[in-house]
Parts: sequence; structure tokens; C-alpha cells
Amino acid sequence: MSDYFPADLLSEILVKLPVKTLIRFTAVSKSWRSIITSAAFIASHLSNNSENQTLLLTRHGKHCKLDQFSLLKASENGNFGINSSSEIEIPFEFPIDYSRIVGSCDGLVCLSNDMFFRNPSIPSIIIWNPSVRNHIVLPNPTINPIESHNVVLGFGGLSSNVYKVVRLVYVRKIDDVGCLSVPPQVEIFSLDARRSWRRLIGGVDVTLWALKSMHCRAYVNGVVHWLAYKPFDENQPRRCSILAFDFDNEVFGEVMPPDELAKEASVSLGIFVIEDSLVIVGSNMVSWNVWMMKEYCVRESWTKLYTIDLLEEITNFVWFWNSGEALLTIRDLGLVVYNPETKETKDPGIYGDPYSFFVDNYVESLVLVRGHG
Amino acid sequence: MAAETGTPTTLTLKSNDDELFSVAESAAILSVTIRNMVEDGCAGGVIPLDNVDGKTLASVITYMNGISAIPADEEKKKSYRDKFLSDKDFETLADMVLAANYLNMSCLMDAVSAKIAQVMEKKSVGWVRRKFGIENDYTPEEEAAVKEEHKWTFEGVETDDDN
Repeated sequence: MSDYFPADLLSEILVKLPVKTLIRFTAVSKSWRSIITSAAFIASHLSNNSENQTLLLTRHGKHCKLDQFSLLKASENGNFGINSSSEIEIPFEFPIDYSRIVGSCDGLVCLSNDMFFRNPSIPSIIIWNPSVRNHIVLPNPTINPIESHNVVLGFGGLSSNVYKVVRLVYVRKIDDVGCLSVPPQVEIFSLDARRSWRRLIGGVDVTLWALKSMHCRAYVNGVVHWLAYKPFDENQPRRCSILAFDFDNEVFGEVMPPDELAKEASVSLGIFVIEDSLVIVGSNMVSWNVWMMKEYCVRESWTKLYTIDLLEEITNFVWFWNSGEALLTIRDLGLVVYNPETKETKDPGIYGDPYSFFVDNYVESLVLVRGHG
Repeated sequence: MAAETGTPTTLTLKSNDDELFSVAESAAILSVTIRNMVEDGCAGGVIPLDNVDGKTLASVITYMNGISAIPADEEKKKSYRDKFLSDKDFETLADMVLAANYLNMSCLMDAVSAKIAQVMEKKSVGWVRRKFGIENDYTPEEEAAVKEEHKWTFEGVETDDDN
């Protein structure tokens, strides 16, 4: 067999190879390089790979502020289980410690380091593909009000295959520092040929304050969701809601949370995704409840999956497995896996600063491979 | 068809090097190409398979018989496929993937291409060029540049033994 091996058959074999091997094989010949780096091949490799569920874990060590990234191969049956874990090398130096993940989509990981402080002259956002070991540093954003402000970011992309970062800038009200002005100013970065920020002028009808912390964001089917608050006014108390941004159409919307959580005295601690459905964890001051929106955007479809029955104080929710098992942190104990059926916790064997744990879905992909486009 | 009439129907397949093979119709129709011929009524005499040699066809028929003897149990079928492919060398696998493609047998096609990928995973660039009969059209400078750019992907590569 030689030259007569048809190109479509060759692609059928190559899509089954890991990214590292494929990049090595770009050295086989110019035609192999052009097959492997073509947009069509990258897309079919991605869809062929998307069933292999891998989790991206980030954390800091207890005494080390540097971020550590690990890939965890999850067990296939949807229950908690880690088959293997490997550390990822970070190929760049990020100016400030405590970077955080803005989002992960198709093998691209968007990181930002403006959690606490941002120096406008230092780049603060990168898009990184750990599998191909390539990253790009985004140009500086253009909306930088001199007033004190709050920045909320989202990352994603869907059918257009253009990955985008959306940046919401809420200026604090001068008369009341606890209050943010709505609507926020919005700009979008697209990972296309122009690679620049542009202002989103029309369609920003946002009256919600999106929360910026890591577990207050969930990405599903091309839409990023942030836990959010409806700002108080004289007649209405502050209430919890969900702000959504559709990357394809570049429009915002509101997804109503379960009625119980939309009330005044509720606290929401996180928003997650289980099998393409939004999941929200909230407290009614008595117990923590896990809710799932069984039908997307149908308010009535919110279903209480379970109530967490633990005596210890929960400080953070980190991840949910398809089985409903939760990865959460407990004060003085660190990270545990909670099984809602047995109501028991177990030690997943993952250690670090308890406030630093963050988990997102990850898939190996060739997106952003050097020499492409 | 065979199962309905109670009399097993046998088909005769002919390879491109003129070997003849008898195979139960119920097994042979795993190939969409053969099934279409049967349904069109062109399977009365000998079915010529111009793109498959005798050695490969014998192997494919072993697979057809083996897999169709297993009841609808994906786990068992998968372990049969794994075992069937475990001792095949690269050349045999390559011939089989071409045959599976021509015969339009998607389950065999998927299994063989996955097996080939598994064999290739840690192989060198030189091995791939030899096995796939690919001419290196890079200049030495270009090749060195590509290799230098992706140096880390050359770690952990098996030394070539040509197996």
C-alpha cells in the first residue's frame, strides 16, 4: 500500500490519534501537514474526541501562589472516579499570580489574571491550548473607566467556530460603592483574523449584576451563564437570577432561577452543568439544595435533585459528576466528594489551597495548532 | 432471506486474484456493498470483488463469520474485534481497512482504523513515511524547522523496528 491510500481513509485513521502524535506527523510531508492543520480535519478530530471526558483542574499549593494545572481522566460511567491525572506544563509566564479560568471550550482555555487588580498596561487575558502548547495573548481591552469598576468575563463559541471573549464592565456608583451601574459596557474579542476587541453597542439590555467568581459561571451549548443579582430598588429586595450570553448571536438574556432561590433570603453558591443541563446550588438558610433545569429556559422545569445532608460547613462547590455526586470543599477539611445517595463523603486525593480549586470540562484538540491558517 | 426460509443461502465471493470463497449470506451482508448486490438480485452466481485480494478476503470472511455468530451484545462483539485484530501486522491492517472501505463495513472500518491509530501512536516520522509509502517533500531545512518547532512531540517515540 502506498500512494493509493485515499485521503478520506487516511483522515479516518488520523482523527483517532492523540494531538501530540498528530503534531509530530506534520513533519511526515507537506500534504500530511496540510491535512492535519486543515480546519475540516481539526473540526472532525474534535468531534471524534469529544466523548473522552477529561477534566481540567486548577489549584494553588497551600504555600505556593502559582497555579497548577492538571488533567484528570474521569471514569466513563458518570460516577466519581479519576483514572489518571497528569500535570500540564505552563509554557508562559503570567505577570500576576492567581490567574483564573474564564472558560474552557473545544480544548481552548481562557485565563485571566484580573481577579484582584489589573494594571491596564499589562496584558491580562490569554487563550491557551495546552494540548498543542500554543497560546495567544489578547490585546489590551478598550473599556477601562477611571472610576472603580467590576469586570466579568466569559469565553465560548459554537457553530461559527469563532471563539470569543465577552467582557462586561460595571462601573461602581459614586454615591454608593456597593452598587454597580447597569447596563454594563460590553466588548467582545473574537479569535478570528482581526483578533481585536470591539464594543457591543446594540442589544445590551442588561439590568443584572453578574457575579465574577469562578463557580458562578456555567457554559452550555454556546451560551455562558453567570449567577447574577437583580439590583435593589425601593420596592423590590435584591434577588438572585442568571444572566446568559449567547456567543453566536451576541445577545444577552435572563434565565429565571428556581422560585425558591429567586426569593430575598436565598444564597446561591454555584452554577454548573450536568449532561447539558444547568444546575444551581442554593441555600434557603436551612440547607443546601441542588436544582437542575431539565428543559433549557423552561422555568417550571427546575427540579430539586437533592438536599445536601452534611453537618460540616460547606465553603465552596467545585464540580458535579453526571451521577449527581458533588465535589465540594468543607471548612477545615478541604476537598471531598459528596455522594447524595449514601450521604457520605470521601477524600478524592486532591490537595491544595481550599479556595483555589476549580474544575472545568476539557477536550484535547488541535484548535490553535501552529501553522494553521 | 436465509433466516426466513429456513434454508441457509450461501454466496460465492471471488477475490481479485481469482480465489473463490463460500460464505453464508447472513454473514456476508454485513458488507453493505454485498447486501446491495443481493437485494438487486445480482448475487446469483459469483460475486466478483475487484478491490480485495484472496488473503485479505479470507481474513474478512473469518471476521464476518465470527462477528455474526455473536448475538446482539456490543461488549462481546467489541472483545471479538479486539482479539481478531490483536495479532495483525500493519500491512494486513492497511489491506483490511481498504477492503472494509470497499465492502462498506462500518464496524470493521472503525475497529481497524482505531487499531492502526493505536499502532501508529508512538511511531517515528520515518516509520510512517516507509509504511505509508510517502515521499518526503520537505527540504532538509524545512523539515528541521518543523521538527524544531514541535520538538516536544518527538519525546517518547519508539525506536523503529519496522514491525
